[in-house]
Amino acid sequence: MSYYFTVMAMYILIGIIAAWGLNLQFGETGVLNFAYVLFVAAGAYTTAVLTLGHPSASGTQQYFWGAHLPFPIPWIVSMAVGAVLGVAVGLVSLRRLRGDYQAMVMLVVSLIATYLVSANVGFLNGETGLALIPQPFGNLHLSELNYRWFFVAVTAVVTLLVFEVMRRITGSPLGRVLRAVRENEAAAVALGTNVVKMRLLTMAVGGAVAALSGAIEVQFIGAWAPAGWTYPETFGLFAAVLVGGRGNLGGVALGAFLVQGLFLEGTVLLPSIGNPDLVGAVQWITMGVMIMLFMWFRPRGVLPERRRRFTTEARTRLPLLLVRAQRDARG
Amino acid sequence: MTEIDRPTAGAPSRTAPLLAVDDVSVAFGGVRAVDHLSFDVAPGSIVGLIGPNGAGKSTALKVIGGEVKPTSGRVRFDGADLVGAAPYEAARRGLVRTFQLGGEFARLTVMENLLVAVPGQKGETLLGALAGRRWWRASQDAEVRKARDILGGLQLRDKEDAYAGDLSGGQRKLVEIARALMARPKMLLLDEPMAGVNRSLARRIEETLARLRSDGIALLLVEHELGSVERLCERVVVMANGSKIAEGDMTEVRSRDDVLSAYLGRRK
Amino acid sequence: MNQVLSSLGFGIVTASILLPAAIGFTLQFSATNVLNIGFGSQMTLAAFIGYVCTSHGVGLWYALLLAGVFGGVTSLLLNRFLLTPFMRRGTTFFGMIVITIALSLVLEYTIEAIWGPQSVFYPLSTGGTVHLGSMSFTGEQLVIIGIGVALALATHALLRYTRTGKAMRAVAGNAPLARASGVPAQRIVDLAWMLSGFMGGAAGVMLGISLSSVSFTMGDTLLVEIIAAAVLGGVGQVYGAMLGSVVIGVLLEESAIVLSGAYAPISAFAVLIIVLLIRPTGLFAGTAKAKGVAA
Repeated sequence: MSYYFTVMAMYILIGIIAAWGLNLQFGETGVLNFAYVLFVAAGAYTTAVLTLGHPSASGTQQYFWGAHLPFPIPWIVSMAVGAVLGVAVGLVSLRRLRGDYQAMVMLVVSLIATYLVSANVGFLNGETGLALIPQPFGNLHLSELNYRWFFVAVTAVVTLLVFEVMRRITGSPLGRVLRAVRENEAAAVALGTNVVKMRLLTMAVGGAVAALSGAIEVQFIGAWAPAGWTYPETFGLFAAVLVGGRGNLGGVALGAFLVQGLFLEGTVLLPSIGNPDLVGAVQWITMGVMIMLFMWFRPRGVLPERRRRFTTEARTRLPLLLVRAQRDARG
Repeated sequence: MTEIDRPTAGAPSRTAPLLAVDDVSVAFGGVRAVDHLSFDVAPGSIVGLIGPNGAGKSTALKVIGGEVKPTSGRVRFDGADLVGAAPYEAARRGLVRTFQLGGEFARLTVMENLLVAVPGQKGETLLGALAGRRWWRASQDAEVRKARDILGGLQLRDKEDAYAGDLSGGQRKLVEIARALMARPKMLLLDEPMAGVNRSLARRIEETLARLRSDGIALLLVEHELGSVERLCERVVVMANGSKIAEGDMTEVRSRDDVLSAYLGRRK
Repeated sequence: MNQVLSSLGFGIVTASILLPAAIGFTLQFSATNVLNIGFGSQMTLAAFIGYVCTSHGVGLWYALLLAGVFGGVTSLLLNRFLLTPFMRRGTTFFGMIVITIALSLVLEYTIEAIWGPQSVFYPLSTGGTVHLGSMSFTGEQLVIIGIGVALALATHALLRYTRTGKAMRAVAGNAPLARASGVPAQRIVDLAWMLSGFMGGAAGVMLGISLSSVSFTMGDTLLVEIIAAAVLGGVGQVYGAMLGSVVIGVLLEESAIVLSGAYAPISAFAVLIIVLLIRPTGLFAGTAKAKGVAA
């Protein structure tokens, strides 16, 4: 049972990290990155080859290159790869096209990437994927269960770090400019904003965060294959952002919790019905219907974006409650 | 109408023009929306760009603002070529445009709308943002105070925390003008700032524009409301079918037959 | 050289399947300005309906017709009762594409839930082949080519020579203006979606016949090719989509000679990327510019 809780906790934390990265792109800047899961995969594969060691050392699986680097270098390199890939994908798809067309191109990028990796066995072991990926913190010599909880704790710390980064970005003048790009591109340009640069910036930061979530995931489960990052996975994360409330970090975390919960608990509750494929199919159908229902009934999510009010230095020195009371009194 | 200081029209100023539109043409698949248009705007002056619907005024404005690239011709602002530059360069050089419709950031508050416009803020870069509140707080506070001053001048102080999308059409136009001012402009391009605005707000907008001029900001005003144009502008450029057909002060332009037949005669 | 020619034969077949698919995709887009990512899944669903028909003893070509009609009706209903209400509510382009993807998920996994993850097979005759130089076609392939070309010609005739077609073009060009000048826009939009669904459904079955099997993820790969054809031709341009289909269809099969078979679909992607980088408006730029899709 404890074992199950560690898995649950990990998936929820990883889901929250990934959803925050997507929220920066979609919720804040309005970039519809339908290739988002590709960045998760990029991080996972990067960490895999950076921990597996030289390909010749692994007799059963093929991959193009490998190293044996200690924690946390693979995670950091993964983030860099995610950022660079984000800029590259952004450069191709974010140019001179209307938003929905940009989104469509990204979807195509995602489909093709899955296809390429599956077809090319020598690159990352094709459809079978990579397995036996070494786990970090081996030198601590913890018991199996303690090790898992330790991993959860490390991930929780990373989650807090990502939260702080996201909070600083979204709460800053930069975040305001990103939301301006989301709200009205033409007006942002007319005020001197380099819109392309802003979008590429979110592609890079979001890509790095996505890659980090993939890097953590791959080391926890020890395997990674194309079936785990097909394009619907991106929509699982979109569902989390939409349901929770785009532009609201707490809401997005809640959404990720609910969506991951559905996936994990769903498999627990449903298996009596039929074949394992049916369970997966029903989950995706639920996800699709849920997205549509939320878009109709609660397009801003459970916890909508907060209205940002401004106080200058003098007034913030008052206790926060007092400021609120004043504001309420003014109506 | 309160007395607005309308400068007498004279010979165009001898100082170098702030904005120089030079032989600009725009063709959309065979149709010439703008045809060999040339005119100048001197620093600190107000020029009206008028003409019947479909005359090419809005396209001309988009070319000047950098949104549309002309088929031929040049636009120079403050000594720099704008045609070859990225669209956002115009604003960075001090040339800011407003929109006829839908120029606001709807789900940003009025205050946020204004703050977005501040050029080169601390905390607007990734590193600046990651440095945290302490790094940019003081400079933002200064901008917030400035924004409150501007909003106060436009009697919008109480709307500071409202979402721009929730305001009335006229209030949105005022917010846009306020926002443009936060961008520290040398010149504003105004696309029909009085269109669809009730009279008292229109008057407020007009007074604001007159005040801007006295602050030394040049204005290029595309407007249908000729009364306002006459009160505000020292010079007007009249366009019809994509070309400039007349230029001069309003009374002078009004008296010309070709202008009357192309434009004024057909209205009311 | 022989190899090039025989691949050209396959290319023509692929192009003939892409033709109605890309026309359908384009018709939808130009009528309502919605990029329907669910189009591939709608096609797949129709292909499965075709399979159900054949497995109940319906002839292959009648099954194709029935699947086409099914595609047309579902397309009409989806637009009327799902997409249009969202658009009326003011859902943005962004929102709409999220909706169509959600739709795609629902359709795709409903197919999987009903028919399972394995491919299902169409009963094909084992008839002889027809040789044209070094190209050889099965009887079924020849019929597919015939249907593809016929659907393209029918679209041309409809748009060019009938009042309905003119009304469709008017709505595609400027819907509010068309409405103001008395065109029954809602009916025209319904018709456009029905036609596009029919084309998509027929193309789905044609692909099923050509591959002899269909699977629930068939729509994904197909969508990439359709999008490549549509973008190459110029978004929203029916004639552009036709040209794009032929180019992409032939290219897909010819590139299989150079690249190993598994990589062939990537050529469609390469074309898409190159077009987007060099000329995002596509070969026929009109609509893309008018609708503000690309500058």
